[in-house]
Amino acid sequence: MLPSGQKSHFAAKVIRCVGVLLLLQVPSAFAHHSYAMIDNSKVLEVSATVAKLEWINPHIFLWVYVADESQESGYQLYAFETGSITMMVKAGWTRDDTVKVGEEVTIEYFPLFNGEPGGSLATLTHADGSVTPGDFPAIRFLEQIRAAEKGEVQ
Amino acid sequence: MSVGHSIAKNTFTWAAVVLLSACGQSADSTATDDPAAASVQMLPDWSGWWATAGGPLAGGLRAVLRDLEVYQPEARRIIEEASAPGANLGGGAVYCVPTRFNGGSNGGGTDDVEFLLMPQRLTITNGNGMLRRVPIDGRALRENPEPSNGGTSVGKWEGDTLVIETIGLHPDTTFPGASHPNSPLIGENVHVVERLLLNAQDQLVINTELTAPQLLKAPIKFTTVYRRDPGYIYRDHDVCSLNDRSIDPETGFQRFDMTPPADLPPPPPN
Repeated sequence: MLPSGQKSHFAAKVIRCVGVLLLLQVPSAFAHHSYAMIDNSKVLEVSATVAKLEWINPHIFLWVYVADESQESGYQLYAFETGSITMMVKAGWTRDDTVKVGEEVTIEYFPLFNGEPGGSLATLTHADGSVTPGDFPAIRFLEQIRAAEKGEVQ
Repeated sequence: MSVGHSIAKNTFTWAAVVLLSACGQSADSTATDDPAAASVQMLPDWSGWWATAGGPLAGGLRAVLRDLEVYQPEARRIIEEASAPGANLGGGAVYCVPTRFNGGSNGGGTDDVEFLLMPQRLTITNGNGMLRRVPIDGRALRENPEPSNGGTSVGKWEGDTLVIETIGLHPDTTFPGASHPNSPLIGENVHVVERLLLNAQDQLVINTELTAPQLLKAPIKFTTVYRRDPGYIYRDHDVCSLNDRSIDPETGFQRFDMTPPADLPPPPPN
């Protein structure tokens, strides 16, 4: 186990290493967006109501409403990016059945550096407790962070 | 009997059919009357969609490229800069180049591959639209061909192994992803030798030797193992920046587009 003071430095090294590995991915389908706008060192969670699943290339977007008393409407609109249609279908997503408009979900995500509401979706948990994984690089980042938190290196 | 011997034998059979027919005699009743159909029957079954065994992160190339020492200094600098946390990657227009072969991969991670094998030609294509045509008719590899998206290839059978030699790749194709911004380029004088064999486990194994003197310090060798993926359903995968909301049309740089769709339903009632 690492001393707590070294954890953030260690995590940063792990994340940089993961960055190199992700950049070295071979599949060409992976190769169209970076994660430059995304803070992959931090995982946040929100409870939300699904507004729309944008089933579009090159990347699918999930729009959700998150309760926020500071907003006049009582809600803040969040945008979550996932992978391409090809990649998400491989991850088990479907256009019509993965989420439903109005569904209550819990989302783990990597936030945007600029603080805007949204980011890269890591996991989506449904009301029945079932979990739908996000894009595989996001899952890899999540696994690396969890391992770093435990003092493990994958 | 190997594929190469089978096809050679069938070519001989075809010649015999022609000769006997010309002499007014019936051909050997045990030989097929359709040499083209017989040639197809001699070929290994590479039909269907193929994915890399082990998923998108699998593959021998990745293991080789973990060691950044394989790269020439400029290529390594680009990779390290682009992988730094918060790196601002730009150049979105690069996404609009057609899908290319870069010597590293035929796809199969997220974009399954088809190996369309015919008696005198192999066509390799994938879910991303890459297209390679490999004549297997005894012709020699052209010298100094013009660059093309799939390169210029020839194939020949060595027993049950198909050996493909490829040159003429676009030097400005990126590596290891073939359309990745801020990645090193494969450069000039790239030479690829692939050896394809369907093994006893019904896996299509490709042993590749990639020579790219402007990218790599020395040729690298790696193995890619493909498994059949009968559940794969082809879907368009358009990564052109003209259709990409995540590319700022003003700057060409990447962005996270927060413009909501026009048809969002209203928020749930409080």
